[in-house]
Amino acid sequence: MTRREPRREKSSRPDRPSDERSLDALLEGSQLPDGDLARWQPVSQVLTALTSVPASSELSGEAQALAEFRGQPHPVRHPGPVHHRGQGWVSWLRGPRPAVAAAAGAVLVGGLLAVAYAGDLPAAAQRLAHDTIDAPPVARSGSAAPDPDASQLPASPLGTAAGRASFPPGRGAAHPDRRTSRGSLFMSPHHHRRPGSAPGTGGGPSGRSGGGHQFPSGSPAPSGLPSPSGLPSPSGSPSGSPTPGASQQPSPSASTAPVDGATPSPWAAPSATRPSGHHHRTGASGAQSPPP
Amino acid sequence: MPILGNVIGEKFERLLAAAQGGTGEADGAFSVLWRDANPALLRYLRVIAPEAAEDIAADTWVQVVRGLVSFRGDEAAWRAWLFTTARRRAIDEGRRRSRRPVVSLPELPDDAGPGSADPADLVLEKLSTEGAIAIISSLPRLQAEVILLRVVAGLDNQAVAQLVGRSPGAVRVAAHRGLRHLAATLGETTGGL
Repeated sequence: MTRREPRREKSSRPDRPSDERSLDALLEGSQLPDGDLARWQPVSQVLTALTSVPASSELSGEAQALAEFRGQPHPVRHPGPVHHRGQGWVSWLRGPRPAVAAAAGAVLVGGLLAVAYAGDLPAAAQRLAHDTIDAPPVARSGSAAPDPDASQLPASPLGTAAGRASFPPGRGAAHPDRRTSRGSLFMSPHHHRRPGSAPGTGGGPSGRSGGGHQFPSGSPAPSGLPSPSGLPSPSGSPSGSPTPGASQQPSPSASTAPVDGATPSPWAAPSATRPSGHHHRTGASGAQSPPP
Repeated sequence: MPILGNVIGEKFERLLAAAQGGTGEADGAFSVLWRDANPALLRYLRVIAPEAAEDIAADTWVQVVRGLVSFRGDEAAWRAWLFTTARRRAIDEGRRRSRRPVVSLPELPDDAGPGSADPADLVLEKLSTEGAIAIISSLPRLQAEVILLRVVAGLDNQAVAQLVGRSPGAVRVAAHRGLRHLAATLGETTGGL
């Protein structure tokens, strides 16, 4: 019984097109077909009531809307780009962008300082950094000196485990990680070359980078590292003898001297008591230039 | 013949330009626009958000006033923009109320709202706007909404489809079903009498 009901609806399908025309006419507010007028008359009355004249309650909010409209800044009523400009700056300062800009600036300044203390700035900038913030001076030898050093010292003794092992036991074991991080941070060709090329002429033992830079007396290295015998006092090196003296002698012998261990380096001195560390240092250079 | 919907006609462009321009006629032009659209807006909102129709309408006008200067389009686009804004505000209000349900006061009389009494009786007793809104409110939500947007807002099938996020065919079917449902409800009521 219930299955036959759809069939009955199916039989009434021929009425559908006229039905839909009437429904479309109702929705569009146009006149209904004559035959369907009586059928759809109640619906038409409902729809007409929906679109009847507005009641007074429906217009009671006009004053509020007008007040909102008048209070809105208008391009003609309130011309003045300066005013908007000021508002823009104020809103910019209120947002999170100043903090982001400050963080980016801090990162930029920190990076510049790191590069300046590593001595990797261009010559003019490095001179300026040297004069203003006591960064290492410019190496005048330029690109001639670092090449042999770089080839003979492929890895930093401070940046490797063997390099750490060459430290005095009392110090290397105390803060191994800190030394590793410092060594890896400041390991540039300058730092390998300077202590060895002219020991005692500005390459005093420094805790930061192996003594390559002339840090002010406040640097912790001179007091923290062992002072090898035969080396001048580290405290006198920053002001007494500038680095150009070392960098003006880019001869391979001068640069390879600390590598071979002929000239006692502040890092090589403890290794004399520990053959393993010495073996490591000479092994790196001995592969290319064996000692006579 | 509908009174609401497309009643401004050819004057709409001039009125909109005056309201946007901020000249001395701006207040009067905006007032005409508001008087034309606000009753239809309220009737639509009384069906889809009966608890907060007035508040949502006020919020809608605040939103519309803020974007009035940048609006470009004819009267149909204007009404579509207005009702789209109102619909979004109603949806936001519905979400807010679902998070913070409002408990109705028990001392309110039963026949306070348009949807409280039997809508068909209301229509037959007094075919007022409130009665028509009440009987439309008895329809399923989509059917009632598309009928109101077609009849009260004066939008065409395509604009309504875009507004409610359905296909034009689905909107047309929903409107037809709603009208048939309405006819059946009214026929049963009149037949019973």
